Amino acid sequence: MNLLLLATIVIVYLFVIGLLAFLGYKGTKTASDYLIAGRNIHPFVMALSYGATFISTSAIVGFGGAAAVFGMGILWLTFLNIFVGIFIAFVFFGKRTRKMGLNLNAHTFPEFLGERFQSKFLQAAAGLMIFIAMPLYSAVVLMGGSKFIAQVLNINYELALFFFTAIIAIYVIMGGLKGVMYTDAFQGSLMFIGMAFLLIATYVKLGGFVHAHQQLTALAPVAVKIFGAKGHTGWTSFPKFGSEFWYVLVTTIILGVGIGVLAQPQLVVRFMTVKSNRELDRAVIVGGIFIPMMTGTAFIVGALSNVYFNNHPAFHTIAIVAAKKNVANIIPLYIKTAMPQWFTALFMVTLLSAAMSTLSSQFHAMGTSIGRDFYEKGLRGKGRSVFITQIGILAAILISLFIAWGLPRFFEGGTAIIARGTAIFFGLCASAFLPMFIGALYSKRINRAGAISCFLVGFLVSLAWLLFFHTKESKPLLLCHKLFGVHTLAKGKWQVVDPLIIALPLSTIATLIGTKLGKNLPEKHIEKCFTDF
Amino acid sequence: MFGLGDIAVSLGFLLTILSSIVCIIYGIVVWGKKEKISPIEEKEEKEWIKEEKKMEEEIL
Repeated sequence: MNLLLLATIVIVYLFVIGLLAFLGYKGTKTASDYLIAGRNIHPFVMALSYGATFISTSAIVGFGGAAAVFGMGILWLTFLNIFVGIFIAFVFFGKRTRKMGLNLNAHTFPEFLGERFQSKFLQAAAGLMIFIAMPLYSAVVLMGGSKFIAQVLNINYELALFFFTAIIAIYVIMGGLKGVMYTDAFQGSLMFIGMAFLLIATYVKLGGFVHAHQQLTALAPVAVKIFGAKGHTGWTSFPKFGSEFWYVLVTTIILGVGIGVLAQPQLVVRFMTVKSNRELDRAVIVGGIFIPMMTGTAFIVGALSNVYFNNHPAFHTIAIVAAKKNVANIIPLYIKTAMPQWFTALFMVTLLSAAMSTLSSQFHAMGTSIGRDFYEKGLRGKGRSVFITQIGILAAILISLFIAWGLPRFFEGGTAIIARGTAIFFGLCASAFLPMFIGALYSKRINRAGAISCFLVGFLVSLAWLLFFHTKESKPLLLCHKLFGVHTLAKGKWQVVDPLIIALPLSTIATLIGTKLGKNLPEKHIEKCFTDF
Repeated sequence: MFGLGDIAVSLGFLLTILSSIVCIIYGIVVWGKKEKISPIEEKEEKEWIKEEKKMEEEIL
């Protein structure tokens, strides 16, 4: 890799980001500036900003690598990313969240839930859960970028992780948290260009759209030989129904992230910052183009990398073997060996953009969760919430760094760590928040007891399933073995069924039972929530 | 279809393209839609922005 080229591109990129952040900040000094800036935000900018927050290095490097293992069946996740993550999220969730957020003067997701259900406990508990669990997600985002840097520069992962985290931390501390939409939109544009080139170049390299797919289809016997016992049938066909691969692909990767997106704290707040429902409607068009270009490209290229590596005389094997059983290394290795050097440098900037836009929102969400939601509302702390928030952000960065360092040691080789880490967090949010969030937006009957039941059941069942039943986590976590002498309490296929499949239906039932048994919220409050609906 | 191996993956590919088209068509159809903002919303928004600005400035 030409270091001078890489360094020049990265420095120019960081300079532009710094300039945009400064101009954005300078232009919105007063609250009325903020209002005018908000009013003038083009839906194109809003959608790119949302998309850049949604899509991270996890989606590109982590899920791209997972696609190289599981195959193109993962495209069902792209379908859900567009249909659920954009269309349903913007049209059916976004508009009501925005209006209700205004009615309740809510500024964070836990605050939205706490105000809607008049429960300080709910706000504090949700804030604490986000602060504790979200570092897993931010860690895998850091991991995705660091794996790429390590591969491209031929340095070890720990060193890459340290530098990558340092760049992100400086960006966040220098004002990345201000949430300047134009910075996000610039990063989104770079991501779009990088991924579009990657998609086209891959198809051209492999002989065209259909021919590339046909070559991958022809590799099915290799997939069956290696992964056949786990249900793999080839990279262009779905795993055998009910097999281990089927459960992981469908219940963890596709449904976990596909549904969980609706209850992501850092994305929900984006709806609240939009200035009118019309912007959300219009933004659907951009999101509907941006998202497939991101995850669609990552998944297609990830799966097709098997053809590239198999045809390459230096490898002559499938992607996971070429990457030495390290799923997170597949996309970086492919970019490094298959793409021109200038593109590798550009892709570095694409990944920096993907990581920065997502991580800044995550650290913002974690900081406000612990300062504003947990300390200020839960503990009724006064005067030090700003300090707690700032310490919270710093702690979140350090905890994420530590997790990103430890994760590769925690899971066995061949595990799609980044995709799993992301799916665990998305699934947890879906189980703990989604039923009550839908109820909050659409039902006047759902009450405090229903919402608290939803949170407790969703969170605790997910946690219990991870600790005692889902072998992939319960085995390395060791608690199950310590208490019961076995790695999992589940039998047969239940060991690979994702927590979401158990916890979400249970938290939905808990919401209904809690609502049935609990006291209704005051009529006046409900009226306030649904004003102008 | 598309040189892919089975119907489930082909359907995933097709649904990806179709859902993207649905989003584009929806966006075009609603693009010119006018939206009235009520005086209550305007007032609420001013308060919301004030608080949001304060929160952002306090964080860093």
